[in-house]
This record gives sequence, structure tokens and C-alpha cells, in this order.
Amino acid sequence: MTNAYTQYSKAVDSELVKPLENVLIGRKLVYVTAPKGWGVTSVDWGKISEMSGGYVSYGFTDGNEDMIDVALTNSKVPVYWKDYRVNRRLYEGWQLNNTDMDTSAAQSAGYVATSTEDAAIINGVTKDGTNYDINGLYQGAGNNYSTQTDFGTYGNAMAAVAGAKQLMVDDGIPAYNIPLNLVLSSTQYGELEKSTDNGFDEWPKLLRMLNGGSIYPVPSTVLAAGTGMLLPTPTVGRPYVDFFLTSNFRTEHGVDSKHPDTSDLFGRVYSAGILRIKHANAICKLSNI
Amino acid sequence: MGNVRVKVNISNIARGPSHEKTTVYKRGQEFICSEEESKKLGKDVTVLETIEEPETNANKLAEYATVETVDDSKGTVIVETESGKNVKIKTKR
Repeated sequence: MTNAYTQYSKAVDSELVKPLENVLIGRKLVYVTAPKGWGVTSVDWGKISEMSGGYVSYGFTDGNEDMIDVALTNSKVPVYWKDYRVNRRLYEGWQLNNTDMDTSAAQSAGYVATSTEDAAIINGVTKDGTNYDINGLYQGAGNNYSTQTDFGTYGNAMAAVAGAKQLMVDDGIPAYNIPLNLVLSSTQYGELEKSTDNGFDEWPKLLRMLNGGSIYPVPSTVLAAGTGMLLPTPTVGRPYVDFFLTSNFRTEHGVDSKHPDTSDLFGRVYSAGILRIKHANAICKLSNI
Repeated sequence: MGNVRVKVNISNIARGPSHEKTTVYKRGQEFICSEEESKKLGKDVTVLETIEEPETNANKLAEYATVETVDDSKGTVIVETESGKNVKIKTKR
């Protein structure tokens, strides 16, 4: 059903979704599926299991076949959301004169909702700070480069990335040949940005090591200071990890039925989706930087 | 904090004091690390047991004095004398 509120929601969506997509880091790191529909509450998916080694021989024999190469997993799809209010007179003004609508409340709400989604994708969802209900990229990583490599010292960032790539290659991920993204806590990003030795900046060398990938900073509230991770870019990383999107960022609006003509407009911004790590070894966390 | 023996739960953990001295531990392998490091590694490892603190000269001496700090790697203890002065004592190996 289309009513004035739905129209308003659509107008807010058009002003909201693009700016939100620009600030989202999580969705830049993983392949995002097309929205599957708000009604999808859970998803069955396959996780690549570790297989036994391959064979070499002059003919084919029995025995080189693993019974199960994917482990079926079912994940519930969480919702990322935030509620807000819009001043009724501003809304009426928009309706009457098509004046500039006030999207600040929706944008602020959208930003905190995206931050929640970002945290879920990048790190994971936890209630107690220790146990994760949903593993994000960092918590679900299959490799951990925990050698002490303080990014404040020139050369350590390159050492950490080289070490992480080696771990990934040893697990069969072609890290030397595919573009990789480096995600850093804001502190380490800052240290890397200014890391220089006798006029040689560490940044360009590190970028070359990423084979065309990029370096992304995330707030220390999402990824703790002293940590980071390396993973394939979404273009090549789809077989390893993706974000199963069921609903892209949308808004809805309504009024209090007790005061249908004067109450503030109640808004909600929401999205829904779940990160699926199909092959954890394609992600290497850097836990001591 | 003491040391603990842990088992690796993920594919690989590379650890060491520097890049040149890195050792890679694979899934199922065990190693001994400080309790603090095991906490940092989180669910990447499972703590199997706590290793008792070794009975070193520094630790023994600490039983007989008001100890400010113990640096067992250097075999030193800082103790407070009766006059309230801090004295650093190096124990015999």
C-alpha cells in the first residue's frame, strides 16, 4: 500500500542509502549478494572442509576422494536497526512545499545502524565481549599472525603482511597472486601512514604487496588497537567469504495513532544479512601489531 | 601471571618475538606461552593446563621479604628494607 509515509520513506531512502554505502567498510571487504528478501530469516550454506592431500600417479585408482568436502551450516539472519523521530512540523513542511526534508535524524540513525552492521561483518557480534554469537571476519579467521610486529617501527608492517601471506599460501590460498585488502585498527593505520625511514615511505611498498588491494582503517571500537587482518578483495574473495544480504538499508515511518495529525513521525532504519565464512583460511588476522 | 600449555584450534598461528624468530604452529599442535598471551589468542587456542611457576632463587627469596617486584628473567628481586629503602638484589643462579 502506498501512502504519504511510504513516499516519505522512499524519499529518505534515496538520500540515505548512497551516503551510508560510502561510509560502510564491511561491505567493501566482502562480496555482497543481491537482497534476498526481508522474509528470509535463516540460510543454509556450505563451508569448505579441509581435504586430504592430492595424488600423483600414472593412472587413476580408488581412494583419492573425500566423502564430504563441504560442511552444511545453517545461520540465522540478524537485523541491524535503529529507531528515531522526525519533527512533525518539518515533515508537514516537506509535504506542503516540498521544502528540504530533514534527514539528519534518519542519517544519524542510519550511521549507527551501519556501524552495527560493520562491527558484525568486521569483528563479530558479542554480548559479553568474550564469546561471539556471530563470527565476523576477524573472529572467524583461520590464520593468526601473532608475532610481535609493532607498526610504529618501520618495516614491521611489511614483515607482518609478508608473514600473513605466507601462512595463507601454505593453506592453498594464492595470496601472492590475488589482490588483498589490509584492514587495520585506526591506531595502526595512523602509525603506518607516517612510517618512514630515510625518506622511504612504507605505505607504497605495502600497497604493492597487496597486489592491487587497499588499506582500510576501522575504528578501534570495531577492531581493537593492535590488531588487523588480511583477506582477499571481494572480486576474488567470493568463494571464500560473502555477505548474504536479505534487506538493504531501508526506512519506514509512521505516526502515533492517538495523535494522527500532530504526533512526531516515528522512523526506523534497518538492514539484514549474515556474513558467511566459507573458507576461514583465506583470512589471516594480525593480532600483535 | 604464570605460563600455560595451549593447543591450536585454527589452521595456523605464527608467533615469536620478531619476524626473524617466528615459529608456525599448526592445528592440534601445542605450545607453552604466558597466560596473558593465551588470553590474547582467545578461542584460537584451548588452554590445556597451567604450568606451575618454577622454584627459582628469586621466587624463594621473595617468600622471606616484602617484595616490591620480581624480575625472574634477570634473577633479580627488589625488596624493601626495615628502614623503608628499596634494594635490588640479584640472586645466585
